[in-house]
Amino acid sequence: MKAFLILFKDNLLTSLKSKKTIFFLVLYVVIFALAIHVVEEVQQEAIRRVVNQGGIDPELYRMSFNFMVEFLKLNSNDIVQSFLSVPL
Amino acid sequence: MLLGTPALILMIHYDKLAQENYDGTFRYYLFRTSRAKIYWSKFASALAEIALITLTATLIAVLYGHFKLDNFDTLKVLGYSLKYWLAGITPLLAFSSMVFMFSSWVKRPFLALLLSAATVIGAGVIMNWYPWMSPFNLDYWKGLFVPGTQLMLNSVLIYLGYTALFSTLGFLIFKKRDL
Repeated sequence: MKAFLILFKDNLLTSLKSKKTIFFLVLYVVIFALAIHVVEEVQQEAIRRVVNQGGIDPELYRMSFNFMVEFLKLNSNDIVQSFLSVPL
Repeated sequence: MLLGTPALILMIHYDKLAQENYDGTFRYYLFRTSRAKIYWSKFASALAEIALITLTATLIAVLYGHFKLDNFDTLKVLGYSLKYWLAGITPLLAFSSMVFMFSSWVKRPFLALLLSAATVIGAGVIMNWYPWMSPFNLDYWKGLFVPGTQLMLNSVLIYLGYTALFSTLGFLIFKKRDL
């Protein structure tokens, strides 16, 4: 067990310090940040469109949109597709 | 999540065993420890590495949203993100064990990358004919996000089944091969 733990620790530390790991960490941060940005932008745009149309309570729309975001598992592509299919 | 995580696992894991095998450094470990310990310690550390990368990236991205975006519900998004991260653990195990199997099978790291990529693409293509066989089956992924249901149990069991299959094969190959 001790040998296993020593190997585990050595392998993990070596991997975490490698340039490849750091590169993919940065790449993942950028992708996630972009995904968050897209979701937020799409949500704001949806509220803007509904407000411009008048009629529907923006807060209600925000709640329903949040539900959709949850349902689609924060998959930005799906969210954009669903958003584009919202009748105006 | 659906395509990003397998791609990340592929790029991070493909040379874990193959590179050391290619360089011939395993023989130095084998003076003092068994092949089983080498294989499973490398597998566990690789899993921990991927889990740490995805968790760190998630937390940094949420922090970015908190400071950069107006009306950003930080707690809610943080909750979602941690939930999805946890749900992604079992597919992570399955894909990692698959890449490890190829990495223990071939001697050249690039070949391990090619075989793993071909298998991932093949798993996507097979969706057209035998969707139940593919780890990309959307029903399996969706099942991970509905806690406490039969659907989730099925998804977890399917991914653990893939993990057991690929890990066992990978370990048997690693145990038998000439290092």
